[in-house]
Amino acid sequence: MTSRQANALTVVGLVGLLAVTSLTAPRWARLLQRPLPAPADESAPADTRRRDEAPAGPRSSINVKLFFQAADRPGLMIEERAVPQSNDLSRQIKSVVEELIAGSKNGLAPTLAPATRVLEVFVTARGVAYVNLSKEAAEAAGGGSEAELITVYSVVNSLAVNFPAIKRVQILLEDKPRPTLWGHVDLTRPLPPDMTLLATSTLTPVANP
Amino acid sequence: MLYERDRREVLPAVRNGVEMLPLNQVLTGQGVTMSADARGSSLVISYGGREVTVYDRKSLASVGGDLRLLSSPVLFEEGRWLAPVESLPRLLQPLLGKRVDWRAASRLLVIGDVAAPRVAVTTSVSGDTVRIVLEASEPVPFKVQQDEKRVTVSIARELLETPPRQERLTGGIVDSVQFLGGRENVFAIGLGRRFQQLKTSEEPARLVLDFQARPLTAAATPAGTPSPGAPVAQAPPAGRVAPAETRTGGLRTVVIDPGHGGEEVGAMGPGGTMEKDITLGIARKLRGALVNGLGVQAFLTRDRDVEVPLDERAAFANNYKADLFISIHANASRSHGAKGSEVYFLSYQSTDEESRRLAISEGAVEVSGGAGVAAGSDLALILWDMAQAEHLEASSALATRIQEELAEVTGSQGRGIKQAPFRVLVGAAMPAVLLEVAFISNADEEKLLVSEAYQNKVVGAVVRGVARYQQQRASVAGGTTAGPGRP
Ligand SMILES: [Zn+2]
Repeated sequence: MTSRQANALTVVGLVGLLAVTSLTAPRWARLLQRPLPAPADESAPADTRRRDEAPAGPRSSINVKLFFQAADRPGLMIEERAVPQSNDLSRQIKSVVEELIAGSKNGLAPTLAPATRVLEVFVTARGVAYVNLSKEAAEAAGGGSEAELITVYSVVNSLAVNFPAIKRVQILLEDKPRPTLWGHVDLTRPLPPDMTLLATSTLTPVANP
Repeated sequence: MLYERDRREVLPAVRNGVEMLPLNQVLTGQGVTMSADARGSSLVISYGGREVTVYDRKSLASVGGDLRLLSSPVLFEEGRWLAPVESLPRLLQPLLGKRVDWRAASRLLVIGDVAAPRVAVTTSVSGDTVRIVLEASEPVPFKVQQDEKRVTVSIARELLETPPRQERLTGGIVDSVQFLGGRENVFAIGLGRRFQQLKTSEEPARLVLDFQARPLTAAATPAGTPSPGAPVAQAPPAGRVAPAETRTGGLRTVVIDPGHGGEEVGAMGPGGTMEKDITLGIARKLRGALVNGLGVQAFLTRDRDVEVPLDERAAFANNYKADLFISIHANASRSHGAKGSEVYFLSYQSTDEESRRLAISEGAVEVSGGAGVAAGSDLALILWDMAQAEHLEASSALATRIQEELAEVTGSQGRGIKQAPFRVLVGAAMPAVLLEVAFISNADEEKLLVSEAYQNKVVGAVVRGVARYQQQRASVAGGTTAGPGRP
């Protein structure tokens, strides 16, 4: 009991009547109040939503630009691809990252291990996307600076270019921020896109978001 | 308005080695509303129109509409919402609209502006003396201690109020004044190279510290071994110090950081060469060349095959008061054709301006030295992230000079000076660059990297780059020209 006592924390506070000024409610609080999307309830609500919002016909799709490692030289290259449209931004972002993991269909090199899973995606009102990846994302051998920059910015650039609302992206691993993937690129804060990593050659020009 | 002080002992729960506190106990008496959703997956705490939402088993919380990362997940257990103690200030301060402090050393969570002795610190310089005065609102016990690197003043009071202080001084007598906090309420005064002796005089509520300089003409080699467990220094040969001093325009200490180490091997070449071995080999050669060629002190962040966390590497350079920080790496790409050398400095995002404002608005008390940074504290991390900001222009100049010299000897084209958010550079409080000597993933360059001749060429180029950088700085400092803005 004594050691428990010794470990107790002390909370010093003020009990008192603070004049409660009614502040304007935070504008975005609504957005974030509901529980974060859990993978478990994905199928059912998603289906109903789709039925509600896109009543008939085939699912609509959108064209996205995916950033992969160039096959024959350093740097990123863009591959365009159609993905099913979702009305939920987080879910749409998740699908784009999953397409990145699935790899190129035109012979570009992958940037993420194929076993990587996208655990969750959150988007804040300030335009930060948090992409929570499974540990496989960090399990690549031979990670030098260049390879690490390419992996990180394949995700960051892909999201920033396709979603104007996304200004910065932070990659989390297994629910937690991690200093780096392989000892170089800072993952402790959200990163804006970096288009200087595009491979030098004739490319689809990319508009700066 | 009447305030009453409320002091309670709360027993933390420890989960996965993290101390957690039940939110309802912490918030007793604060007048907040708490409502959990039916499934127990989220909890909304509201107060005065503001809201914080935490989620079971998530290290994320919604604070006033934005997500914040917590140090570890919140847990919903048997009707109690447990939150990591370290993250409570970051959750509760914006909610309650008043100061919330977690004082780890004294195990105190302070909510609101609890009355406490106020201590003001003033600094003044006259001639060869820096005077620092601590003035308290009531008599407090001052305890002064001195070691080679700094003087600390402790005030053993449970709570102390002092304005955020993180001051840097030029002139070489006192380098920094900062409030470190802790149970003893420590103020730390970092000693400069010219410091010679300290004189103190004390009255009950007032302490006067006079730091006196040694005359400028004396040899400027810092005395003493900077820190224990670091026999990695190599002092310049005594006879060379004076001429080198003039040649390098005040450059005294360089910290070299051999990338990776231990289990963390870095990149691997097709022939099995490990990045960590190459970086250590080049770093050792560079240390010798800087000492002998420029007459500076040079230290390695590691001098053996051992893992060193990235933030400790920058902290090491900060503790040694290094003038330059050079991190050595060998590159790797998934593209086998990638080759050439590159010199990086930190890319600093506009978002950091946000962090700065946040830190200031939250009444930050911080630490520039690095060693005192509480690793778990959100606020400390934000400020740590700002250390390199004021040196970017100098870092860019240093990168340019080194790259120009490297291009001469390695003949690499198309690559060059680059910017990237490399973690090891973030906390460095001095001009800092990261050198990618060559691509270890390229079979030809892997062979170069292991060759003594190539390593020596690289080292020679870096030394010339550093020397040219320093000459340029010295001549700019002499004139009135402001440096050009960073592109
Ligand atoms: Zn490296």
